[in-house]
Amino acid sequence: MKKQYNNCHCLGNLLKFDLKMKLTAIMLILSLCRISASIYSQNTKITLNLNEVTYQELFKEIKKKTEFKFFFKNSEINSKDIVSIDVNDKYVEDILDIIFKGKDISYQILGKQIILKREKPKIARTISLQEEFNLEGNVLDEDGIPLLGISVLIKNTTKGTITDFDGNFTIEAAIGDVLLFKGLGFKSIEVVVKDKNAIAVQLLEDVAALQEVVVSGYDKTSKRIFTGASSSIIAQDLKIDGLVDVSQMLEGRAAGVNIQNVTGTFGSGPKVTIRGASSVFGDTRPLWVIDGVIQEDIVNTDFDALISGDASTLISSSISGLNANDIEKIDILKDASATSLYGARALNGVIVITTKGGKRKSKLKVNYSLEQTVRDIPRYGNYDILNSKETVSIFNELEAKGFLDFPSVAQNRNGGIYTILAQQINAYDSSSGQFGVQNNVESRNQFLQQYEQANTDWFKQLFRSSLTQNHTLSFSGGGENNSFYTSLSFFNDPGWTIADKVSRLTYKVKNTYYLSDKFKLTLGSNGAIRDQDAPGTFNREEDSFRGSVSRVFDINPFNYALSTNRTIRPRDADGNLEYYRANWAPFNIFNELDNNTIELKVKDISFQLEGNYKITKNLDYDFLGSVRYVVSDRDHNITENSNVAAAYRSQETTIVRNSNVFLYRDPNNPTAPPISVLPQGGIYRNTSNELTNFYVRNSINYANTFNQKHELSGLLGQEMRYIDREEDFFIGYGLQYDRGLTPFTIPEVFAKTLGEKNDYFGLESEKERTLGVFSKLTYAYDSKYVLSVTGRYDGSNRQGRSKSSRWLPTGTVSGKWNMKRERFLENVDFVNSLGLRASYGLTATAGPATNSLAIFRNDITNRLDINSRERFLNIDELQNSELTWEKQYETNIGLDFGMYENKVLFSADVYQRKGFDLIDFVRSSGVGGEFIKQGNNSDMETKGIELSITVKPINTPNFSWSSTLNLSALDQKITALENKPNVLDLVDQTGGNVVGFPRQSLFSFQFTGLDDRGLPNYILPEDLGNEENSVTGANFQDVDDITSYLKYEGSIEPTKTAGFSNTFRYKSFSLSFLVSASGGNKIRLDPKFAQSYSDLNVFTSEFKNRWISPGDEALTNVPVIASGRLINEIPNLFRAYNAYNFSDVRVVDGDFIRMKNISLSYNFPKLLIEDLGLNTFNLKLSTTNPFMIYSDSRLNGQDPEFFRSGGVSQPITRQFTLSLNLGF
Amino acid sequence: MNKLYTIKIGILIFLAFLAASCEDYLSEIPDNRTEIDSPEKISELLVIAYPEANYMDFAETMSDNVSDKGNTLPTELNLANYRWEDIDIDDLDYRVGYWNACYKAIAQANQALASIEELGDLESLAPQKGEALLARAYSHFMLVNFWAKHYDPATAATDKGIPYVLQPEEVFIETYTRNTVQEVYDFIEADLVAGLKLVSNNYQEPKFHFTPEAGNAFASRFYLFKGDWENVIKHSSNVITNPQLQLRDYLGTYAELEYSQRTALYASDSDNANLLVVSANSLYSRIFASNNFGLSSEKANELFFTGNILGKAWAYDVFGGEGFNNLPKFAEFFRVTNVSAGIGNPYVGLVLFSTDELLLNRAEAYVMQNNYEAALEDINAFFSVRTEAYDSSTDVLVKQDLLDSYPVVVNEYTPFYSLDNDQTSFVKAIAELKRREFYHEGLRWFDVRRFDLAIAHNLIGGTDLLLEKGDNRRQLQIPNFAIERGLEKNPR
Repeated sequence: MKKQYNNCHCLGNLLKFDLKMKLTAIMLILSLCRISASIYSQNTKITLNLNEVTYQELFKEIKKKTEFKFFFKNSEINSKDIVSIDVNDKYVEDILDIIFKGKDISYQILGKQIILKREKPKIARTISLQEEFNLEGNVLDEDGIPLLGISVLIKNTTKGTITDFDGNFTIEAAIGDVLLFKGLGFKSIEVVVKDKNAIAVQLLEDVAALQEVVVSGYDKTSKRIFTGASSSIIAQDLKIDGLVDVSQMLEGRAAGVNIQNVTGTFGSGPKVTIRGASSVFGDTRPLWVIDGVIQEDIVNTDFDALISGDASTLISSSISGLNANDIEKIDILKDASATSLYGARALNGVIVITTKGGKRKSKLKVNYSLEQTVRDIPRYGNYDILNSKETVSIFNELEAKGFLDFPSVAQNRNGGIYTILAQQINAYDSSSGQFGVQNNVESRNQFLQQYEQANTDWFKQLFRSSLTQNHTLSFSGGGENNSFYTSLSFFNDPGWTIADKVSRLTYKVKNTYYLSDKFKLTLGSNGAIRDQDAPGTFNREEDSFRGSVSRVFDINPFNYALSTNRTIRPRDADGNLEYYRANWAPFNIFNELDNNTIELKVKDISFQLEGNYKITKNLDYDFLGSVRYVVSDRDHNITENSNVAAAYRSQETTIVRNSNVFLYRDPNNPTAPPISVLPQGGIYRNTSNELTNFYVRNSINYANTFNQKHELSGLLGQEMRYIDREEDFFIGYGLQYDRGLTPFTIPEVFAKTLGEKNDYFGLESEKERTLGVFSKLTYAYDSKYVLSVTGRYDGSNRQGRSKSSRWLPTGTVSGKWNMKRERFLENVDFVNSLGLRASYGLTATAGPATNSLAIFRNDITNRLDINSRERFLNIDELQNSELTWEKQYETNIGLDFGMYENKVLFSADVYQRKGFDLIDFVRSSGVGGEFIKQGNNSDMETKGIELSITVKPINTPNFSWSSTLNLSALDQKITALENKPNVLDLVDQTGGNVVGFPRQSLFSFQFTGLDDRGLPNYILPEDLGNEENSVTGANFQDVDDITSYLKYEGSIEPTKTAGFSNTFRYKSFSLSFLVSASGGNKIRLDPKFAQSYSDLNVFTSEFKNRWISPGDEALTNVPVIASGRLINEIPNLFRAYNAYNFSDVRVVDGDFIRMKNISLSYNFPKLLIEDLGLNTFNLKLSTTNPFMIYSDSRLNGQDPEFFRSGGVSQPITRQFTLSLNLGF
Repeated sequence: MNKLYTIKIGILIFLAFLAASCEDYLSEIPDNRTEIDSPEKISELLVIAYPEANYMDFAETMSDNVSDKGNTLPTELNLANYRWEDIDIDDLDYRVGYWNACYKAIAQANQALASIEELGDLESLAPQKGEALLARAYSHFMLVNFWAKHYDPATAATDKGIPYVLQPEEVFIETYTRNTVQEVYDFIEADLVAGLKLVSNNYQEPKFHFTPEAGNAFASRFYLFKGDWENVIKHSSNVITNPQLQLRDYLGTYAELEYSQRTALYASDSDNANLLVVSANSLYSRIFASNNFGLSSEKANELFFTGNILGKAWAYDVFGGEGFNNLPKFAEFFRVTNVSAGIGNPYVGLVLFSTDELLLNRAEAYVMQNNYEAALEDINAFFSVRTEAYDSSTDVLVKQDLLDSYPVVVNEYTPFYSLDNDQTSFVKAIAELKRREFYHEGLRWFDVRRFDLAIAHNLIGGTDLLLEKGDNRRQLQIPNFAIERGLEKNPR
C-alpha cells in the first residue's frame, strides 16, 4: 500500500525524483527540516533482532517496520557491510545511534527519509579536546522507580543511548558534554558531565502535558486548538485526604462549579451545579463521566429528594464507588462547545474523570497509602440551644399558660419530662403502698428538679470521634506489549454517630494490550462493595397545605441532638435507660438506635473494553463498550424492642387505644375496639434497587495537516445506551428478631394493610434507551485560527411509543484565535500564550415530562369495603403533543493568557445562557381534567463571569510557591413562566419561581413588629372581614399579586463562588491550604416558633428575649408564648406563628468563607527511604473544614450549606487526617 | 452496473432495517405505565369517570338547611360557604376541588370514548360507550348547576354555562370557552339519550357505575331541572315500581342498627335504595356534624322533631346532641399513605342517586301535570316509609291536607315556569320532604336555585345574611386558575 506522508510532504516528493543528483541540495535544506523530522522518528518504536546481516537487509527491515527509507551514496557507504543488532522497542534514531556507534557514518532524518553520509573524518575529534570515557548512569522517576526507555543524548551530537530495564545506561562522553534526557511523559532535562563518576538522574513527570489536553470523554483535544470553556484539575491538586466522595473535593477548585454539601452522609454526595441551574423544575445535576462512560444514577434524585434525608439518598451519588486515589485528572466541561458532544444530555455541564493507567515498558510500581481520619464531635457551644435550666423555666411559663396539665400529658402521643412525671404519679407500688411521686406541688417540683439539672449533652452521648481508615494498594507498570494498573482499596468508618457505620471495598483493573503497532486493546473493570449502617428512617411526608414536612420516628442522631431538649436524660439516676414517650410508647434513643436500623449493601461492578485501531496514519477507529451492574439492598430492621413496634401495640388505656393510629379498627365491625396487628415481633422493611447499564460507542477519528499550515481533524461516531432500573420493596410484619427471625404474622395485619389500601410489596421498573450520532470537525490554520463545528442527533425512548419529541438535533460552532502567533505578539517575550475563544451552540436535556402520549397507570379504587374495590386505569398525565426537550443556547467568550514562562496563567470566560422550552408545573384551568400539568413553558436567562488565575512566583529547587484563585458570579432571571406560585411556594425554605427573579427565589412576609399582646404583625393585603388580619391574615394559598406584599430576599442558590488555594514547598516539606467561598444566596432559618409548645420542644436563646409583658414590644421581636386563652380567642393563631417562621426576620445571608483544607506533608530523606528498601515514603497531616472564616452570625452555628432534614442526613464536619504513602 | 445497483439496494435495505430497529429500540416503554389495548382497560378507565370529590358540604352550607350553632369557631371553609363568599383554595371539600374532580371524570370518560373510537366503535363496546356518555353528561350537569344560572329556556341561550368537553385534551395549555346553558343542556341531553340506550348492567360493582337504573335516575333529575315533566315521569317509572319496597328502609333495617353501622350501610352497595354511589376524597365525615354552620338545634327542631303533617314522628333519627346534631350518613375510608406516620387520604362514600329522589321527582312532575291523584299516591308512599308508627289505614293524606299544611306564600316559589296555587302548595310540600330526605347531601341547594328561593342565614350576635332572588351568588365563581386561562367570570 502506497502512502503519503506529511511534514515536508512536497519536499519529500521532490527529493525522491532528484535524489541522486541533488544530494548536495538536500544537505542544504536539511537544517530546515530537522525539527519536524525528529518528531517523526521519535514517535515510532520498533524491535529489531538481526544477526550478521548486510546494511542493505537492515535498511529493508527498518523500512518494513517504520516506513523510513534510506538514501546514501554508494561511494560513501558500502551496503554489503555486515552488522548485528538486537534492540527492543526503540526509536529509529536510537537504533541508528547504536548501529553507527563508533563508525564514521552520520545520518539525518528528513520526513520519512534517512540520509546517510560518511563523516568527514576527524572533525569531531578535533572539536572534542577531551578524552572520551564510558559514563555510567541511572535514571529514576520522582518516586525512585527506575525508568526504562529513556533516551540519553549528548547534546549537539548524534550520539545517544537508551536506558535499560533497570534504568541504567552507559554512554561515551567527555567532561563538559551536556547530556539530554528525554522520555515520553517526562520533562526533559540537561545534565553537564562534570567528572567520570556515575550519575543518577531523576526525571519529573510532565504534569503540564496532562493539562495540555482536554479530555471530553469522546475525544482528547490539545488545549491549543480547544475552543470550549473547561477547567482541568489534576489529581495532586484535587485530592483532599480524608474525604471519600470525589465530588466533595471539587469545592472551590474550578470557577463556575458550585458544590453545596447539603448532606455529608456517605453515599449521598453534594449538590453540584455548573454555571447555575439550567432547568426551572427539572434536573440540574451535571453528568459524571468516567473514562468515557456516563455514570448512570441508581435512583433518580432531584434536589428535593437529595435534601430529603430519605434512605434512598444513601445511593444517590453517582460516583460513591470511585476511589479517589485512582483518579488521574478531572475535566469540567462548561460551555456549549465543550459539552457539545453530549448533545441532548449536556444542558447541565459535564464532569469527566480520567482514571490512572499503567505505562508501557515501565517497572512495576507498588504503592500503598493509608489515610486515617478523626472527626470532631459537634458542641453545644456552636449551636444556639438553651440549657436544661433555661428550658424548664419556659416549661414553667407553659404550665402557667394552661399547657402541660395533668392528666392529659399522661395520655399524649408524645411527651417529655412532664409525661415521665405523670407516669410516676400514677405508678402505685403496692409493696410500699406509695406512688412514684406524691401528687403535690412540692414533690412534683422536687421530681422535676433532677431534670432541670440534667443538662444532657446529646452530642457527647450520640457522637464519637472514631477513626476512619482508607487503605489503598496499587500496582502499575508495563511490559513490551502491555501496561497495567490495578488497585484495591478498603475504607472503613466505624461511625461518627453511634448509629452509622460504613465499609467499602473497591478495586480497579485496567490493562492495555498492544496487539500490534496498529491495534491496541484496553480491558478494565471496576468494582465497589459497600456495607453501611444508618439509623432507621421512614420517608418524610409533606403537608402541602400547612407547608411543613415531617418524619415520624425520626432518630437521626444529629437531628435528635438538636431537636431534643436537654432536660431529657438518656439514663436515670441509677444508670438505667430512661424512657419518655413517643407515639404512645416508651422511647429511649439508645434503645431505639439499637433496635431500629437500616443496613445498606451495595454491589457495583463494571467492565469496560476499549479498542483502538489505526486504519491509516491519519485515520483511527475507536470502540468503547461498557457494562455495569449495581445491586443495592436496603434492610430496615425494626425489632420487637423498638419504639416503632411498641407503638403498634400501645393500648394501655382506652384513651390511648382510641387515639393510637397504629391500631386496627375492623370496618365490618365498627363497634369493636381497635386491636394491635403486631402482637409479636418487629417489622422488616426491605427495598432493593438494581441498575443494568450497557453502553457501546463506535467512532472514527481523522487528523491530518496539509502544507504545514492546514490542520484538519474530524470525529464521527455513534453510540447506544441501555439502562434498566428496578426498585422493589417488601414489608414484613411480625418478624421475631429475638426468636431466630421466625415470622409471627397475624391475618389482621393484612386486613389492616389492604384495608388502608397499602401495598406490602411492590415493583417499579424504569427503562431508558438512547441512540446518538455525533460529529465534530475542527480546522486550524497555522495554529492561529481554529474553527470547530459539532453536531449531534439524539434519540430517546422517554416518550414511550410516541414518535414526537423522540429525536433532537443539537450543535455548536466555536472558534479560537491564538494571538500569540500573530506577528505583533511574536516578539513580546513575556507573553507565552494568548488566546481568545468564542462559542455558540445549542444543548439540551430530555426534561422530566414524558407525556407526549397520555400516561395511564393502574390502581385500585379507594373504597371502604374491600369487597367493592375495583381496578381502574387512571390518566396520570394527559397527552401533551407539544412536548419537547429542554433546550439552551449558550454563548461563551473566553480569554486565556500565559506569561513569564507560564508562571502566570490567567483565564476568563463570560457567558450568556438562554434556556427555553424549560419544563415546569402549571396550574391549568382544570377543564382538561388535569389541574396541575407539566410542560415546556418557561424560559430562563443566565449571565455569568468566571476568572481563574494561577501564579507560580517562586520555583527554586528548595522552595516553590504556587497559588490559584478562581472566582465566578452569575446573574439569573426567569424570563417566562406559566405557573403562578402561591405564597407557600415562595416563602418556604426551598423558595419558588417568579418571572423576573432567579430560580428558587426566597420571599418573606414583612414583619412590622409585635403588638401589645406580643403577637407578630405583618404587611398583608387588606381584608376587611378579619379584624386580626395583620396578625393571622397570612394566606399561604394566595396567588393574587403576592409579590406586592411579600419581600424578595434572594435566591437560595449561591450566585457567587470562589476558591483560593496555595501550595508552598520547602525542601521536603509542603504546605497547602484551600479556602472556598460562596454566596449571594439567602437561607431561611429553621422554623422554631409555633402557637403551642410541648415539653419536647427545643428552644433557642432567642426565647430568652421573648415578649413577656406589654411594653416588651419596643424591645424585642420575639413573639410571646401564646396562652391557651389567646389561642381560643384568636382563630387561626397558628398562622401568625407560621408567618413569623416565614418572615424576613427569619432569613439570613448564605454567604460564607470556609477554610476547606490545610495540609502539611513531609517526604522522608532519600537515605532513610533507601535503607528501608522503599522508593517513596511521605507523611501528610491535614485538616478539612477546620473553621469558618465568615458566615452570617445569625446562623448560630448552623452550617450554611447543610439542610437539616433528619433521616439519614449528616452535616460535613471538621476532621483531621494523617496519611501515609509508601512506594516500592 | 448491475452489481453496483445491487449494492445500492443492499445498503438502502440495510439502512432501512437499521432505522426501523432504531425506532423499535426507542419505543421501549420507559416506566410502569399501562397502555389501553383491551376492552377491559376501557372499562377500567370508566371506573373513575365519576367525580371523586364532595359537593355536599358547600351545597348544604349554602342552603337554608343550616344555621349558626354559635359554639365553635367556624373554619374558613365553613364560614365562606355560609356567607356565599368566593373562596378559591384547592383542598378537600372546597369548590375548586369539585370543579377539578368533575373535569377529571370527564377526561376519563372522553378517553374511553376516544379509545372506543380507535378500536373501531365495536358493537361489543356499546355498554362502555353508554357508561362513558352518561358519566360525561353527569359531571357536566353538576358543573353547570353549580357554576351557571339555573336552566331557564327564556335566557338559556345567552346565559353563560360551563365548557362542555367532548375530546381528550392533547395540548399543554388548551383554551376553553364557556358554552351557554342551553348548549350545555343540549349536549347533556344528547349524551344522556344516547347513553341510556347503550348502557348495561354488566359491572363487577354495579352500584358504582351508571346502570340503566342509575341512568334513569339521572334522566329524572335532568328533566326535572329542565321542566320536562313527561320525561321525569317516564324515567322515574322505569325504576320505581313498588316504592315501599324500593325506598331506604329507615323503619326496618336502619332502625335496628347502631350509629357506626348505619353510616357504613348508608352509602354502601348493599342498600338497594342506592342507585349510584361514589367514594369521594373528602373530610366530610369528620366535619359534617361539627361544622359551626350546620344542623343547629333550631334547625333540627324545625326539620326533624316537627313538621310531619301526619302529626307523627319522622323516621329520621338525629344523633350527636347539642352542637353535633347529625344524621348518620357518612363513613370514612382512610387510605393510609404512610403507615407509620398515620398519614393518608380520607374518603367518604356519597350517594349520588337513590330511589327516594326518583319517587319525589315523579310526584312533582305529576303535580305539574295536574295529576294530583298520582302525585298523592307517591307522596303517601313516601310518608309510609318515613313516619314512625305509620298506620296505612288512617295515615292517608288527601289533596286538601297538603293545601292546608302548605298554604301559598306569594312570590316564594318562583321557578321559570308558572305555578298555580295548588301546584305551589304541592311543590313546596314535596320540596320540604326532599329537604329532610337529603339532609347533609346538598340537594336542597338545587331547589333553592331551581325555585329561586330567597333565604337568610342568621349570625348569632350579628345581622342576618340574605340571599335574595336573582342574587348572582347563586352561581359559584369560576375558579381563579380557570379565569386566568380565559374563562369568563361570573358577575358579582
